[in-house]
Amino acid sequence: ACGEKTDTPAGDQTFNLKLGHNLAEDHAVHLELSDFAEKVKEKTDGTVTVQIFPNGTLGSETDMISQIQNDALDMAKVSASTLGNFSAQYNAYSVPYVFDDQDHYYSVMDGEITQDIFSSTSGDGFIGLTWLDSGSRSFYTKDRAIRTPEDLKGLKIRTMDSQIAIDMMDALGGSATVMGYSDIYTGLQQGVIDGAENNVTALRDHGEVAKFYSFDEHSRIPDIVVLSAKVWDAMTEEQKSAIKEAAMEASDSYKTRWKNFEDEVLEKATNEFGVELVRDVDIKAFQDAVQPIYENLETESPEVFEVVQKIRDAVK
Amino acid sequence: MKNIDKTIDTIMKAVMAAAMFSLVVGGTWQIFTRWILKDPSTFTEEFMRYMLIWASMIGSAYCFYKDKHLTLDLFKKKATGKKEKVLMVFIESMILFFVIYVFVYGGSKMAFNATNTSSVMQIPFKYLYMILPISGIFIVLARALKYYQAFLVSRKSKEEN
Amino acid sequence: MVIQATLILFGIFFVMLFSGVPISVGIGIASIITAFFSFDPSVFAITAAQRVFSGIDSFALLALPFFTLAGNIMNKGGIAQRLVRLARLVVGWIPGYLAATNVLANMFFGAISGSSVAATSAMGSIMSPLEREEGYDPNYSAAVNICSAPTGIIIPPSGPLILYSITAGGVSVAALFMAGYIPGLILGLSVLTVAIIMAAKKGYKKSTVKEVDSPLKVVIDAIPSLLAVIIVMAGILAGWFTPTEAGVVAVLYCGLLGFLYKELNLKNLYEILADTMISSATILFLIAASTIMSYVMSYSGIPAAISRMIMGASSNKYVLLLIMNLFLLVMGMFLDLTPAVLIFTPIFLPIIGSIGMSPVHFGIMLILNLGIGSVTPPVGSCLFVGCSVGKVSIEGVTRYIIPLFAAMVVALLLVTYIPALSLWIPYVFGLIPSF
Ligand code: NA
Ligand code: NA
Repeated sequence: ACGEKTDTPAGDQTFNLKLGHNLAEDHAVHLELSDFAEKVKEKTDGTVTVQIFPNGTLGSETDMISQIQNDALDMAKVSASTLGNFSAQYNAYSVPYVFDDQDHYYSVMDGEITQDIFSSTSGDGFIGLTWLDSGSRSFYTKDRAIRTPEDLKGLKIRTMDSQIAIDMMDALGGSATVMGYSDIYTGLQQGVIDGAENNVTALRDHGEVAKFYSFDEHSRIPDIVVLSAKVWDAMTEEQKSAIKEAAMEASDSYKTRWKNFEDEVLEKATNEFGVELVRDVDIKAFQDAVQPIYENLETESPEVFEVVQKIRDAVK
Repeated sequence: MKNIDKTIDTIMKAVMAAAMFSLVVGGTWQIFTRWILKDPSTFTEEFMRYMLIWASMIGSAYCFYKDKHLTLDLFKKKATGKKEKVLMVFIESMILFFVIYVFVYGGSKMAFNATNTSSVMQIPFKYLYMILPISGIFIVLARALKYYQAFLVSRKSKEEN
Repeated sequence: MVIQATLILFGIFFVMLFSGVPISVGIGIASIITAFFSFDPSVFAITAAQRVFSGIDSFALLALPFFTLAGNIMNKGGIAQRLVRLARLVVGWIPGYLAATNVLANMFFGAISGSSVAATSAMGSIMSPLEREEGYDPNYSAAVNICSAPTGIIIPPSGPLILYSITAGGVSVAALFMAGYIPGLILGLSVLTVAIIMAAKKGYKKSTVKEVDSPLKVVIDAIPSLLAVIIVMAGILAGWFTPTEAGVVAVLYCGLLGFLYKELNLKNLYEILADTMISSATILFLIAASTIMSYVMSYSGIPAAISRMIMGASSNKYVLLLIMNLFLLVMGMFLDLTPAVLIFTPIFLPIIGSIGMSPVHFGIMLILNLGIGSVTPPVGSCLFVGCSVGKVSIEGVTRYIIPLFAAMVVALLLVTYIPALSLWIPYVFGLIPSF
């Protein structure tokens, strides 16, 4: 970690950065981050190298962020949803329908709003370096397609353990059932839950037991690459800009890589598992149903609401 | 000393029984809300997880007091005299090193640096992680008390001889 | 580097083990010292603390205390006694019927409880006085009780199978549970056969005591207890509750029976609750320490190196399975089941993937193997608890454990080399697509 910096004859410090993520080595994220590591080495003339620890070897996303705060790790790829427990502003990304569509999402993520959030946490020991697309999240269910919020009535839907996700399920009329990702398969199979919500790549794991994927696209929660603030501050301006450049390139090229990954999974899900893709969803009805969440945010978490408003204002 | 021992047993029994009971109640509530009320409880999952961690750590400290942790005492039992003493000092220093390094030192650093909160109940991790240094200190005290009692007993038996 | 780290890690662990350091602490110390070669000590302290906390931060792990509690309630709530009487009815005609009763009762008990230690303690405390009265060698009785207890973690529900499912990254618990029935039955029958042969050699008689109640009454009496099996398993299969919640249901149902039988009251329930939490605490502490070891191992690349080494030894599926089993049997002598599941699952998963073995089948083989480890000296939780409730020494029972151990290994080999024994039932229930 930070203990591993050394001085070169030229006077620049060299850094060997450890980066953790919890996906497998054949996952698009790992491939992209490996390319990122290459580019960083190239652009910094080898003064900064990145060593990747995949598969959650270093612990959960929460664990990895704490490790960064405690100087035990330098970088990690984590979900904005996890970051919300460290810095409330990140919760804005999880608010349902805060993004109208992919264009809106991309422009906010590549723009100033996100850059401000990225740098706002340096007092907590880490900063956001860049983001990786994680698609849009929709409902997938065992027995019936979801076209309107009414279709969710009485269904037990696995929900991520975050308050916004739970509030969204309440607003839409489904029953939020909190359980870990690894319990979803059995939960669906045995009927403990009737459905779950995620981006399409979850069908890789659950396509065998979920028969409908309904594109209501209620949220787009990005993955964020975070970096130790201490390490960042110790770098020279040249190193910083080289890393920033490599990070932006990764973010950009990942958009295509992610798209290809999604297509690949969708192809397998429909042809091999027979999952029905439901595209005629009444998105307007869903958007209307989640309005109470916005009203609550305004009174209960003004700092999140402020970011939400900025994101909404960026629609035009 | 007998009284201290008894008091500890009574308190720990109550704490452990209460913890186990609350886990059963939490689990029952979770099933009940999902199947009868059709409105699944969302906090029980988190509550039960953290209750289990806290109770296990406190219970572990008590088990260090009562020597209930799984141990291979094949050679320890056979050792006598000086050998026994050396072995005892070695075992105790290993327990102390492990507990002070991981639980007290690592645990308190982690607790003090934590800025995040749990996802559903919004409990600051600062407090959740606190169980590590707390149980660490309990374990150290437990070992000290155990030896102090053994010392008193041996002195008493010497006096009686 | 990897070989060095492996030697240091296991070398220190064995020094700690034989010095009499608590096993959890020994695992922790070995991991910490190994980690010092690649981490800054002030940084690793935090990482280790975090592993301890996160290692037991799992909803699925709650199944362990629940299934242990269910076992303890069965013991004190009159359920265990009713199962014993039913078992005695079935095997009373056999020489050494009390030992046979013990084996069968452990299997019944295991079909409701998910902890072999709870079974050892429950059945040992009921059976050993009876057996002593009829002149059985207490060492023999204890050995039979100890060796039949692991049937309870193969026959569902099972705490260790849940632990495996978590460690392996979400192998279906329902499939693992259904896979355990036939192997559990085979294990029980193997132990039963050898126990009877030993009893016959010793000249133990068949039952001469006249059962006061009619056979019909014994069976009817046992029905509500046996109903627990159906409620728990059907509930999991029908999706009424998750495996962890099934533990709660087992607790509630057995608790209710206990109160109806007037065996349970608030006072002994209080004792049972406290005892269960305390004994679960030692297991969770062991899990916490073991996750430090798993972390250090995967950080140093040890699991990958060991799998490569084993796969390099042979490409033959049958040989690899034999190597894995031998390795686990040896490690099972020294490591308790809980840390062994956490440590060896990641080592063997890549191998079983490469030979096309089902992770469900592997889970049964692993837990059966390590269940054998829990009865073999010098370290084993069933062994320790069984000796303590049977009031005998480890040295004393070992002589009788050896032939029973051989029977268990035969069962292990059958389960290893005939996948259908494990996979047929989950396949019939549609829990696995094929086998
Ligand atoms: Na069982
Ligand atoms: Na053993």
